[in-house]
Amino acid sequence: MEALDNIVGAINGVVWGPLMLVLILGVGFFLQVGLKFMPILRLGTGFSLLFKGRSNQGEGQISPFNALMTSLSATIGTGNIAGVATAIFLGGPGALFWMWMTALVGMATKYAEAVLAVKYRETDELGNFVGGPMYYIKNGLASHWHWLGWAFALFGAIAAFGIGNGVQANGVAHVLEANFELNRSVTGVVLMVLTAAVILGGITRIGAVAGKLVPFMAISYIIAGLLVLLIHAGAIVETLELVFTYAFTPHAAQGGFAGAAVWAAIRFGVARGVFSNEAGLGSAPIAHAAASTKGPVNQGLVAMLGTFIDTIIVCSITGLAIIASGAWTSGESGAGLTSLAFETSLPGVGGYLIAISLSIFAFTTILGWSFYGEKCVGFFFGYRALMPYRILWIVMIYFGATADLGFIWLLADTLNAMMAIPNLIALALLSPIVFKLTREFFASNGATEEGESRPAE
Amino acid sequence: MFTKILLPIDHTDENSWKKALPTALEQAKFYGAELHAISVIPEIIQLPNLPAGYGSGAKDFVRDKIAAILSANNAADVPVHIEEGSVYRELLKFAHKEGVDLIVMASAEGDFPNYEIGPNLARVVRNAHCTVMVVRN
Repeated sequence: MEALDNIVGAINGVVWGPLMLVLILGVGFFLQVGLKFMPILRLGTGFSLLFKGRSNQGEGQISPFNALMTSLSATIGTGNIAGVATAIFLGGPGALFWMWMTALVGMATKYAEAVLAVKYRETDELGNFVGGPMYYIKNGLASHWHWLGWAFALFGAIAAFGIGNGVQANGVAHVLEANFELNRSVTGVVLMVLTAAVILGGITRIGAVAGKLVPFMAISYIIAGLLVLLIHAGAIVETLELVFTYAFTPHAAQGGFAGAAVWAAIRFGVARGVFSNEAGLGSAPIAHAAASTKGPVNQGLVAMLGTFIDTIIVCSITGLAIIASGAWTSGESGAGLTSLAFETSLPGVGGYLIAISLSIFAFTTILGWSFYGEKCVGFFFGYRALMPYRILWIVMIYFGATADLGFIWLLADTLNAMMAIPNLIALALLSPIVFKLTREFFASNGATEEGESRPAE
Repeated sequence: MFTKILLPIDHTDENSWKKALPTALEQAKFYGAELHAISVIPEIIQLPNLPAGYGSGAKDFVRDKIAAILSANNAADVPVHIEEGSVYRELLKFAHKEGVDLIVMASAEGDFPNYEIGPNLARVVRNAHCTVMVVRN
């Protein structure tokens, strides 16, 4: 185990080195500049598109409220609760600043991903839309780049087990153990059974129920977070000072906090930021490609909101609550730290709220990521190869739930970087297409995408 | 001797109908039996992160594909059934429920000797309550 830990640690040091951070922030910044900061300036357009609702094949309009809920459900997850906490635990308050930076450039990245996903999607053997990085690489780039698509699909299929499976199961096991003294193995088995019921047994009702609970949990979480901030309203200014100061200066050890260099703040802020908003990772475009949408730019405008809501709003609430409540020097990490911040501010309710919302978020994330993983596997083997992957998916949940917190995050981070690299290269190469589509769309006031509304099969 | 014949078709694999369809048609004509075509697709799971109704058109999509294959081979009047789930299980279930007395099924294109009988065909042969005719390519 220790040897494995060292190997993964060594690979992690390479893939999460300065080069990777330059790639993530650099490509995002490049896209943001190329789009003339449109994603930030057109935030309102995105929200109005969301509130206008989108027509859905044959089943009439999705109401604006439902559209917003769906978008929230897809965005908010363990990354917002446990991820932010580990970033602050390892990188100090300054990590939150670097998280915001990933979101600001990440909005452009996410926009570009969704635009390309819709532009270059295909119809699979069953008539469903499929897309994502492997398809925009295959259909958008010259053939000597196609290995990038293969690399993405390969790493994506493996990385899904980290970010979309192990970390989620681990987070649930951790938080249920802390709040309800539930044995981790029990949690693992329960999660396995529920997931198997949905993805093997076809009992989609469980997934649907969880999906319906997510928006309510998300709203309760946001309200509780705002309450925590309100209770510590006096400490907010000081908290923001901490965030901005330690984004650029090293932090000495304090209480249970081990101290952090600036490099750690950047590294963990960026890594957890990307983990949470998934901008640049290449996972979200797989889901965006499935949408029935007017066209690429319309989908891109809605997609970039995800990054904004996720990081600028929800991660900030978590991060500020942890720092303002003083919980960050307690020596706790992961969901336990967030739990502590909420519990000390809202005794009797806070901890349970975190435990329950995290469990539901994690469960729907496990289901959602199984789709991303499947599409990566399907890219290689077609639709007949999904069953073995689904079975492996369920087995891994147990290992995730019982594994060590630090190791599972390290592994997930490493795998994420490996799937992000081919995707980011492709985004840079395909950026002229994104810029062109965007220019034409706004020059014609959206008319370029009025005629091409295609119903999803 | 036979009254109801079932022919499973995989629309992504030409091998599954190229020789098996004419064979099945001939059998149907000889016995005066009715011929039914069937295709089994994997279940499409409704996940929270996907748009509502994702995959709801898959059955019709595959039905059209199979119908096109049938009409291209002078069998436009053969009824098409689409089931969701595990291939062999759905085939057997359908055959049993509908009183099929002959299943005509193509063998796979095997790269290895004795590998032409794929896992689904093997299970159909082993577990069917009726006669199974394996059409070798």
